[in-house]
Amino acid sequence: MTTIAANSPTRQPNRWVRFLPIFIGIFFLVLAVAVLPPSLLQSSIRLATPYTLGALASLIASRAGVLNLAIEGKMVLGSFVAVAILYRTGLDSSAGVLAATLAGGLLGAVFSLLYLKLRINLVILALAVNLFIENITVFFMRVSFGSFGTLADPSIRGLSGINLPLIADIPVIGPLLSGYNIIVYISWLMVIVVAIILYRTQFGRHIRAVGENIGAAESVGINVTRVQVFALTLSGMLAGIAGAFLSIGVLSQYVEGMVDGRGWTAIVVALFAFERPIPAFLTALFFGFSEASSFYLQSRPELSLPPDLFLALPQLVTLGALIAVALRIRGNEILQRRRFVSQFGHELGKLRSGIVIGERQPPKAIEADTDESERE
Amino acid sequence: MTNAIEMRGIRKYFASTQTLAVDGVDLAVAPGEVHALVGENGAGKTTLMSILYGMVSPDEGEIFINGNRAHIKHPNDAIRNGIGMVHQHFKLVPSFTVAENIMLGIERNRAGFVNSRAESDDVRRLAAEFGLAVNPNQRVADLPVGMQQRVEILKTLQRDARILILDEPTAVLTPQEVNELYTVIRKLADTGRAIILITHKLLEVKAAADQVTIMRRGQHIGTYPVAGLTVNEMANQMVGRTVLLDVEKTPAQPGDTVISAENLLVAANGGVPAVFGVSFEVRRGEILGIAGVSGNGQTELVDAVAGMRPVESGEIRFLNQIITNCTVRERRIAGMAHIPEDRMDTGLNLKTTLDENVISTAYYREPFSRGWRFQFEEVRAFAQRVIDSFQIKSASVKGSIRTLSGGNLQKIVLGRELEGHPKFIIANQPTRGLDVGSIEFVHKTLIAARDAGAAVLLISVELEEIMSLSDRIAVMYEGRITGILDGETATEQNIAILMTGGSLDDAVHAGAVS
Repeated sequence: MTTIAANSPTRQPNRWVRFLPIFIGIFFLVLAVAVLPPSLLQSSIRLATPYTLGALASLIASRAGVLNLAIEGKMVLGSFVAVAILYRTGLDSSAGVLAATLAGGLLGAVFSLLYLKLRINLVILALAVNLFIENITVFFMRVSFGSFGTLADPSIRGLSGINLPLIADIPVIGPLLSGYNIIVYISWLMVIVVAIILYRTQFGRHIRAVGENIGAAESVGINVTRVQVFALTLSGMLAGIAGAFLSIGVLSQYVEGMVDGRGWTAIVVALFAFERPIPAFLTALFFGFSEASSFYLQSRPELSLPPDLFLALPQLVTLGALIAVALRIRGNEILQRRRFVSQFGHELGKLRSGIVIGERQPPKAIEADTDESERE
Repeated sequence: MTNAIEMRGIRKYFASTQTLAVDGVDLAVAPGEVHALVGENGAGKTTLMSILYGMVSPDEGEIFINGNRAHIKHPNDAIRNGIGMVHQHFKLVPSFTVAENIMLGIERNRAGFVNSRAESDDVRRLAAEFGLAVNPNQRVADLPVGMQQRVEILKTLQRDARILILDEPTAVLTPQEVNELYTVIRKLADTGRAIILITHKLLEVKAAADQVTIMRRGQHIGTYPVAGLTVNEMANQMVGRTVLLDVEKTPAQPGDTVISAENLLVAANGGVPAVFGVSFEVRRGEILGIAGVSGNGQTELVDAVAGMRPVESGEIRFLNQIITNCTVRERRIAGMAHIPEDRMDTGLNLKTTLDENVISTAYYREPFSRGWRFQFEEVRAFAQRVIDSFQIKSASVKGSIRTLSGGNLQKIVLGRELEGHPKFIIANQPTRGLDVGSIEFVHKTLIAARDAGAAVLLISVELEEIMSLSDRIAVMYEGRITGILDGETATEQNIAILMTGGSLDDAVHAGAVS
């Protein structure tokens, strides 16, 4: 018997189009390095860190099919735990980072069990976690530490900058890549680690399968619950580190409300990057840049530019991007209907109107290649 | 020779719908055999296969695989026993490549890192072995439906399935792809695999199967070699001889045309034509019944006529006005009524009260609203009138309708739709899931509406209902009307032939022989 040929009337997606956003990102990076003052760039990169980690936390959960809106709460927990542990134990600041990671991971695991085992509504659960963490930290600050609003002590040492030996000596970009604290480097590493997990490992493939078509994953015997629990725990750990960066990475104290919505912004960063790690990193850099430039402009009143506008800029861009995505989907629908009529309208014309008996089978599906559909 | 699969005395009762879905069915399939499982909708064939694949647990009965008793409680058990299923709705991850989909869950990996190249090689080898060419590195989302189905088949083969269940495999395929599928099925059977083909298309059984098992209302009607059975004989067995419900009805007095549709083209979800060049007209005082196995475009046709789905091309005229692109509300104001297929979901709002439900199609206009104010007295009076004239039991004007029985719920829908004396009524599966008494009530109500001068379009998968109510019967198959028969003279056999894609010319010959 002969081999049945694979008919493959498929459109080859242009590779360069897919990477276009990355190219644009790189272009702006190069432009920024050439034009902007190094101190601004350094603080942009530093301030991008919580967005990077938060966005990774958001996207790994989304990829597993769980909309994680509790990132803000996990960040608050991480930032508080890091300072609280250092204050109580007097250990080295890296212990604070570790404690924040574990606390975030634990909260992520609890969150996943509440959602998956008790089937609590995801949005309500996330809001409850966020509000609970926000208030319980205030409670502990007063009861355990007797402080109001701020938890600070000379014994709490923040993370110090680390100069990377060889890289620091590279001209121009060396200073931009070196001199940050450990969490900044961890965030860079995690971008690569998360990308490798998602695209190169069995676990990552299961995460993506569960997120995209849970029925397909179940039908081949993947333990969906386990995959989601792992993904949410990992997500919580990343958010916890992001929180630690805010409290002991920038300052060396915990201030009530210091997370200030960054957990929510991180979700937007992940959405903007279509839940992919490397675009998420570039997007986070952009958000870090707009935050840094707003500080920069505030310190330079002679420029007389409204700094609030710069803080709002990323949000405006995000809104624009969301509208563009929605319009594109709508446009595709209209296009699809047009193609439908142009393909089947002709066939219809050939039929005698009214009753048609068995002489001609109607075509059942639109071939992927519809360009030759008007072949008559 | 031991059978690859043997199911004995399978019985399954669904308490939620109070139906005996499968009633003591036996099924035996030998290795190397293509076995078709046919029956109308609700005959129990999908339930039977869900039991075999471990998705539904039977109340009674035993399953033997290669002569050994098997306990299948989960699809994983089925896979372990060498059973593979190609679902009607594919279980594929669109953004994954062909190889990634086939190897999902059984990835080639070292310490958790997948080896994509080895997977592609595996898939290529598998594809060559069975002559099912695929490109392992292509994204599934970019593939036509036929190729996606091929990926599903390969997925079961990679898991070494010896028994393959194909659920309505041709429903989504082009004729070209259907022929390729038949070749593939035959080739797989030649390797000693047992193939079970769930279908209600009898021509397909003729073309592809060796044995056929016919089911009706959960019961096993018979198993025959396909070669010894004509399509018409199969159709007869599938539909069966059933007692017609007696409906008293005078001959129709058709008047002017109320609604006409010409050459309608309507898309199903996903850009597949569901209604393909359908034309019909319904006149005053006449019931036009549309018969057909469900899923042949009836739902989409109703949606298009009722204004719930766009018409891609063609024209609908209602009382000499073109209404092809009118909204639902415009159509209703013009005098159209719609009894939808699903009364729980589309027909009613179970969370609210009876009076709000009965005015939901007209709450915004007089007499229920004047300006911005509700006329509560009018609403109450109307709701009471519906309760009285449609004999809705244990219901009150302000009462919740959640606890009412299906028959009473349908009466609320009928009351709402018919109380305003519409000129045209679409009744889509008006008696689905109702008891005999309620069915009779619905039938009488529809006839009364017809006699009062309404045009009625009745859609039903119940042949008896169509035959006892309709003045003319249009039969739909694959999105087209394959024939319009006179209600008085149409026979069940003729309709069964038309609704399975046959032609009446053959039927005459077959009838002469038998």
